[in-house]
Amino acid sequence: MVHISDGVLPLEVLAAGFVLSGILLFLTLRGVRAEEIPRISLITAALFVASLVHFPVGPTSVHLIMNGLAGIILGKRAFVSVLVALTLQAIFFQHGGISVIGVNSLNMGIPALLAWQVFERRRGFGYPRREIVFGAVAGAVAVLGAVLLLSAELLLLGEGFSEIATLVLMAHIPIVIIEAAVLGTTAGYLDKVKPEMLVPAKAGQIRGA
Amino acid sequence: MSHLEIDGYSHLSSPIHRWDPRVKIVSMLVLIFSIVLLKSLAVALLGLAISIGLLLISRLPFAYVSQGIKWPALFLLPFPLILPLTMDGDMALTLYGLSFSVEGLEQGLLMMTRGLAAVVLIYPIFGSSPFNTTIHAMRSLGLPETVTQIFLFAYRYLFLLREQFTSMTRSLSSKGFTKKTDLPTARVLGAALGMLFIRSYERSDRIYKAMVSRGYNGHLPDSERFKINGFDLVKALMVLVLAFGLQGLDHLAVV
Repeated sequence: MVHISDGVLPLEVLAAGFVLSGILLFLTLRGVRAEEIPRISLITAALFVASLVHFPVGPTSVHLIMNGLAGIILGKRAFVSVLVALTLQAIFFQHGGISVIGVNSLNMGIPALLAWQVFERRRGFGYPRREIVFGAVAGAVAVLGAVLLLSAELLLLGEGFSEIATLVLMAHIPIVIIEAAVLGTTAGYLDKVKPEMLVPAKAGQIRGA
Repeated sequence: MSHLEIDGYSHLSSPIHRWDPRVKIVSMLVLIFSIVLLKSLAVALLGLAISIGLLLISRLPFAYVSQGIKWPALFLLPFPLILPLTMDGDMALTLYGLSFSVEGLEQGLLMMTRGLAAVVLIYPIFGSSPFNTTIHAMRSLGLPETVTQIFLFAYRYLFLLREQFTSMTRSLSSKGFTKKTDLPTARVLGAALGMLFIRSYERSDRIYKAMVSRGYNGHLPDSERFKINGFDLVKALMVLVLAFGLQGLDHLAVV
């Protein structure tokens, strides 16, 4: 639901989205090794499936976004994962759209990288449940970042859009809370069951097979 | 969760199905960009009509398309509903203390029309060839090899993981789990997703070893060869004329 749709943004924003996404893709994929590819792909598919999970909010339901999870598992490789997952969603569900793949990748991908950085900060703390706490913060940061970027782009459109931007921001507050709760649990679970899955200390290198 | 079969009707035969995928992708993308950048509502409606026309030519079943278009339509709806109330305009009309701006309504309808037209076009583009062919076509159009592979593998794994997750959900509900708006639900879902990710991760190790043992070294062989004929170019020319024609009309209409 954080996707912006086709037909809303002007040319400059669409073009900037593609150019910046291309640059980020290049930077975050540099030095990728063959053994990383199946892993990035599988996590991408898992993210896509996770985004099909609906969580009830009162009478309606929201679907999980999980860009933060990409960050804490894939490190800097999270960006390509987000980009591919979004493209697949645009094609299969028409969420977002083709002309906004660049913009949406930035909206979700930059916060995913941010979530990874937040999660890395846990290493300084001896608290035994730090994975849960930092996972929750990373989950909240990832969604909040995405929504803020989206609202900022809507504000760029002019004064008449400030109410819609506020509405979008408000509508996502429950999602921020839900993602924080789910991602905190997932991070704690991964740490207990398979800690090597969380990005190892050496920056951005996912462990090979 | 049944919508993973975008290419479920790629076996049909239509002028769009017979079109070379590379030429099809490029010309249709030009049309999409032309439509999403229109500024006149009347021209945008014409763009929507053209999109629907191309959809009809592609012979994709209407029921299957309309099911997919439902959601983006819902996302676009706030624009024509809210903008009339929040945008300033000359021709404001006041009713029971609320002022509606005609400009806001026009702007909202314009966004909705452009968005719908672009979404409709996704079907003739991606519904008319098998998805793997589409990805190979994108590769030969310059998509980086690593990204191509991630697309191909992720697409293949989607079906595996969906099956696995469906069976996990079934097992949870047979043990009495129902979703509620509370923390225990978040915990159960979080752990279920954690399990899905762990299984995926372990599976990716085995997949990688199996691939290496069959000669995988990080590169894909060129499996699909595309050939362009005269008809492909004629179709491209027609779509490009529509795309640039819309932009031309738009300039006339806005001035």
